[in-house]
Amino acid sequence: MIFQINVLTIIVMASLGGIAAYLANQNIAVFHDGLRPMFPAYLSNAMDRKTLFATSFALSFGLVIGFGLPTSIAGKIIIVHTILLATDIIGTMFPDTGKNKWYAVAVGALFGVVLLFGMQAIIDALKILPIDFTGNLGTVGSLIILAFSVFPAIAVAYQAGIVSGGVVLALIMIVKQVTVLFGKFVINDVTIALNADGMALLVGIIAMVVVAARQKKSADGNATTAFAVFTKNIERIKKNMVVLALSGGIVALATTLLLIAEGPASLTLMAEGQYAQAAIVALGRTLGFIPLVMTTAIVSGVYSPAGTKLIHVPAILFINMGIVGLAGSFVTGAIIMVVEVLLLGFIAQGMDRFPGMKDLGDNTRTAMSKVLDLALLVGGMLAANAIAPSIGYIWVIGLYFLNQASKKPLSTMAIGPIGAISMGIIVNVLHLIGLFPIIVK
Amino acid sequence: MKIVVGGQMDKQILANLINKYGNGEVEVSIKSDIEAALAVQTNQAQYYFGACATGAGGALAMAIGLIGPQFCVSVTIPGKIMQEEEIRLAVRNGKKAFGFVNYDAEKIIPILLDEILKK
Repeated sequence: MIFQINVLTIIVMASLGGIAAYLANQNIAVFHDGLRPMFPAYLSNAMDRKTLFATSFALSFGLVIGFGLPTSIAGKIIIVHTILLATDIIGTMFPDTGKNKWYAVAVGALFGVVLLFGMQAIIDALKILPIDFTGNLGTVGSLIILAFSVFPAIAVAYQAGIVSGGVVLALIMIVKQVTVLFGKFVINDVTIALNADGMALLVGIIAMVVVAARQKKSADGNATTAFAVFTKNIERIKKNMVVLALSGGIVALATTLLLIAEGPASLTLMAEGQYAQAAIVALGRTLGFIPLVMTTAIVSGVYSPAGTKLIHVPAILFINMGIVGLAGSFVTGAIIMVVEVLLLGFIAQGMDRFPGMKDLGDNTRTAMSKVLDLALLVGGMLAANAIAPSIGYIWVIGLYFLNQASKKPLSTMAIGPIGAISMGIIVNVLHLIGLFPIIVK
Repeated sequence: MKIVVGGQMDKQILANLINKYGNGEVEVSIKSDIEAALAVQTNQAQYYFGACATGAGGALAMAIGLIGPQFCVSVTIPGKIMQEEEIRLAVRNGKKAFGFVNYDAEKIIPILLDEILKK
């Protein structure tokens, strides 16, 4: 893994698991956007704790095992879903009364620490196999680095049609190509090279926001009236501002320590040390998640332990800045969380005023999800091919379609990482039975 | 019969599939998740369909919040697709909002529409 295991990272992982489990246990914040709206039914006694836990478990367990773990192993940083979806489960597992919250905290903290050591143990175990394929796992994310800047064009196409989308696509390609050719300056003998993918992404995101801002108010804008009834929920979240701020600070700190990453794209970029670009990607994802997290928070009175994910953006930029960076990350994360909570009321009232922004969020999440599906799938093929040039492509393409036909299909996004990891294990088995000799180059 | 497509992904694909299996008896409209959920809440539409990567978040969250969890069901989530009989039972038991993983749309929309049109 990329992270180090020391006293500081152990404490941070324990705190992260502990506080997130506490928030879920006390019905203050959960990470799964689909679980949040279940809480009003629970809090009004229309749903019991067991059903809430069963829902939480059903929604999140498959994502932790099928998506979180393989993505984390392949990427060498823990994707945040692995811990925060698990703490949703742990928190809702215990009753929210009396001493039970401390049991939830203890199990959550223990899970954080076990995850830290466990991930490293898995990587170490893979390294001692006769054929060490861990070096090739990075290839799974290679396309994300080179092609993720395309997503704003797709979001614009969903929002404003394929002509506008095509224009943004051309713009992104031109910006990247021009930056590759002319993006190097020499100022006072210091060469400054602009990151072509970062530039393309930035221009694409700006184009996307401009298109969204120009969208006209839709005819049937009655969201404000509908949301007026939820003011009590906003008060409920505000009441818990201090503990949410603490959670924001810890999530930010864990990001800065390279323990966790907010999504598969910024994870890959962080693992490659491209922090500025990772921050731009995280910012783009935040734009996508602001409407979803905030609207689900308003209808439920329950927030997210990581907020709108904006806390990750400065946290990524604080990486490798020593003790100042860590302190800065924690404080900024906490402040952002407070500001987000304070803005909830404004968002609830302003829902109709910026119809394009709500659509922008939906379209951004959709576009990113589609690009990641494809990029991770092809990345998985390339990685499997690097591990086993004879059968790699066959395995991953086959796995993709078997999954589609399955009665229990996993996330498409997980097929690339799972394909690459399983290919590595398969070649080791083949090696043991003499079917995959190690060729010394 | 009016069906609204709300949550997040592949809305046009969902609408096309609903039209295809609606045998001309269904009027489909694509809306934002909030407006789609409000349409069902105020009886301007009978059913809400939504798809996203998890089948529960972007797909169904607003419907759960506005229509109520007792009327909502995630027909598929990553790692689990409901059995055909379970899906039909959900419709018969009065569920109004259906969330699913976008890749599963083709598998489950024909079943949902078949059962909905029986009502």
